[in-house]
Amino acid sequence: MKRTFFIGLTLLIITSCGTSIKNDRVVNVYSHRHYDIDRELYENFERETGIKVNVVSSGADELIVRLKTEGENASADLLITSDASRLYRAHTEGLLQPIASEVIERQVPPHLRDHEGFWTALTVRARVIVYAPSRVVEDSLRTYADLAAPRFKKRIVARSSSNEYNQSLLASIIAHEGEDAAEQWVRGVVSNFARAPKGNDRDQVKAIAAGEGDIAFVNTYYLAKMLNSDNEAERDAAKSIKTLFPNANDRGTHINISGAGVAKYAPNKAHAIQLLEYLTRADVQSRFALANYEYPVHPDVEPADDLLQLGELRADTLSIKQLGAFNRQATELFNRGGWN
Amino acid sequence: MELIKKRFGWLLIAGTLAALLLVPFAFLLGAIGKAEPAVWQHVKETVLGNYLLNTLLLILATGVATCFLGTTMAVLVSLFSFPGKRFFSVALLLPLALPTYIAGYAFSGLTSYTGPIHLIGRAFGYDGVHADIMNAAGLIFVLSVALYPYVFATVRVALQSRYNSYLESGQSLGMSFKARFFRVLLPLMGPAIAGGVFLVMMEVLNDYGAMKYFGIPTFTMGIFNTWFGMGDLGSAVRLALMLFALVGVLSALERWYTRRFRVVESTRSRKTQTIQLRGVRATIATLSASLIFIIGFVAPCSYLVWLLVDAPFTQVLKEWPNLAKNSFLSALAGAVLILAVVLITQFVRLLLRSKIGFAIGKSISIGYSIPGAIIAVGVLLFSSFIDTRLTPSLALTGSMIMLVFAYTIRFSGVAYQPLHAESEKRSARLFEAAQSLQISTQRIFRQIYLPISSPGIRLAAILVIIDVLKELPLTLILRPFNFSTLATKAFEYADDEMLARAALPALSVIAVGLIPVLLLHRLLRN
Repeated sequence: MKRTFFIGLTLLIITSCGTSIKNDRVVNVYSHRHYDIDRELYENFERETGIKVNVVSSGADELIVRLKTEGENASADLLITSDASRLYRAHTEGLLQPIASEVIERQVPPHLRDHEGFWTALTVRARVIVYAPSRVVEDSLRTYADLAAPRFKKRIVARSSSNEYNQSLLASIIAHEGEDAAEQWVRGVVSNFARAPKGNDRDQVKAIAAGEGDIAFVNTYYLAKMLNSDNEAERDAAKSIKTLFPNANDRGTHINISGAGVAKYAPNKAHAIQLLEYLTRADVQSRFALANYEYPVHPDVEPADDLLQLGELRADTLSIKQLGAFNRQATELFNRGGWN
Repeated sequence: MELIKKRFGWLLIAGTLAALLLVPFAFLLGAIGKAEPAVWQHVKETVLGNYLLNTLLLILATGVATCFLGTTMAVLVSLFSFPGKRFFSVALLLPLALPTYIAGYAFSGLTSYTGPIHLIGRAFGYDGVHADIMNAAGLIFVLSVALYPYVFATVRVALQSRYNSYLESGQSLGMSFKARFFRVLLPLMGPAIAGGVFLVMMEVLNDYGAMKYFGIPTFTMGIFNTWFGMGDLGSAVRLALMLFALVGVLSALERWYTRRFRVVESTRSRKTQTIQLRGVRATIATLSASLIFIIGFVAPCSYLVWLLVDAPFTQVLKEWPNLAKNSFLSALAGAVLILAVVLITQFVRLLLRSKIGFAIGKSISIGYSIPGAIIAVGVLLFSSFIDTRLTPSLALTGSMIMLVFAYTIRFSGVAYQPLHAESEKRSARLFEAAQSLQISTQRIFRQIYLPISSPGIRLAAILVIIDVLKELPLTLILRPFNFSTLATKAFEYADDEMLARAALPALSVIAVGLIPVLLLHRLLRN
């Protein structure tokens, strides 16, 4: 009697926790973005179209491994990542399929999407340099290359190289300057570290405010978020530092994207395209990008004021694809250079 | 042999269960040969030494620290009377409900430049009152204060009543308390301490969130990086195998030690008499216990509460009931399944007393020494194989069933420990008697084995529930659509660098976790 009860209970639990993904009016998303605004916009999409958005969120790397392992059984329609190299990897591993949509072509400029239609950017972020204005002479710091200059010995703080934003930054350096120069850069920056790499982007800003180092590099939206933080001390920390858009006078500041591609075995391809068209639409972009202080991809949508106040973005026009193509090399260079 | 033939049905069931839990590993082993030589070479030359060094440092240092903290506190609470003793016997268990990654975020926030300690210092005119704890020493500190309850709990169980007679004999021989403690009690507690420290080391090896945030490269992180980052499953599995070998050594050491110093249980089990502490000694006892409780539990929790004050949590609040339900039900489902597997396999092991039974009984605990992420991919390969090659109608991939199955692989080892110890002790003779009386196996299972294992079952269920509630990598990788738990929600916010929003789900993980921890306390008391 007791046993039957327990077996019944277990089965009930197991079956009650899943939601139907076999329904006709659904789109299944694997997403590395898990901001509250994303959920709100999905709900809005559900109201507009009657298509239910099912989400699994996890790290992009984990989602790619899952997509790959699941193969044809994957019920995912759309893969959303917050870094270009992950989209590239999903593409090269054959996990995505090309789509053609005039709407997306109209809403997203060509350099922010794959020309074969395998993926498109949804938002853009720049990786900028931040520094303590009281301790760093403004003219001494103009480019990413300056970070490796001996004059900044023991003054740079950074996060770990396992972080995809650092990997993509290094990939862009490899693409522009070649592997040897990039390796020199890694070694130079490592010898300039004020402390071992650790923490997240916000922690780097705080470390400068606290005087543990003078220079760091972080994503733009973290700065805007800190300036709007609920925590007063965090707002003060962000106000105490200055932002520099590196390489503004030559190749431009390194940008990265969060983007999406339609899964190869997507059971609801049409719905996935519909969701992409929706997410890149002007009115949605203004909420999507603005709520998270990212640069919108839609050319008609202005970035948030807080973002504009950081400075003017003159973006590196390097094909986003290159960030993915050199990702593996970047990881290896980090390991070789002792940047943990 | 005769016995095996007679109980073949039972053997078959137990064998099938164990095999089912092992199949995902077979899929992984298949990947080893496919390691890319270039990647493996690169890993070996650049980061492997560092992984090994850091991993050893972390498990040894945390092992020593928790051994000291856990044992002293358990002895204090079990053998002495001092103000607050009853309170501390519960309070010191509470950090069990605190996942190590949440402890990591909380302690670094607490001591950071924008944290309360610094702000208070600044208010009084001291600038620069912030300790940098985000390094190896800091991580060892965080892991130690979060994990010592494992040692505390196991040693307390051991001290419950069993050694009373030894202590009394020591006393009648005229030994001083100090001599009795060091020469009688400490060696007797050895196996319990070793067991507790082993659990701590397993928890350390499986932490991922805190290590990643603190930037300490270890095996677990290396497995993630080579696999997910460099896309080479083969090299990652090789790293996992090295980790597994390390665990094998630790586990063998623990077994050797436990066996060598096997405690013959006293038949006269009475409640241990406690020694009343007075004056300065009592004050020191109360103060040291308070200090550990405050640092290990009150401080990180109050920091999270402090964050909550300014946090916008309407969104989390909206999802809260669903998150709590998911956390709780998945833990419950995991516990039921795990207990079924462990009980059946351990029963068969005791019933048959043969090598096959032993191998089956032992094999189910393998998953406990393998990082969650590795198990997750083994499970994915397995479910994908069934869906593609055998029958697509089950649609196992990405289903709740596979997640609970993965929990079972991962945590059967947790339930194995208490049930193993329990059944070993009492059932051997009873089983022999029952079998000679020709009582049916089913009746032996139901009427002898289950009742005598019931303390072990309860302990096992509680430990499993605590572990599943805190679980992260398996859930993150395997979860079905729209399935979040309190733990994954807390991690997502923290990962997006929104610690204030993570505070509510993090506190909820702790609060929900307190229920099994309090049950554990009741169990330990009786």
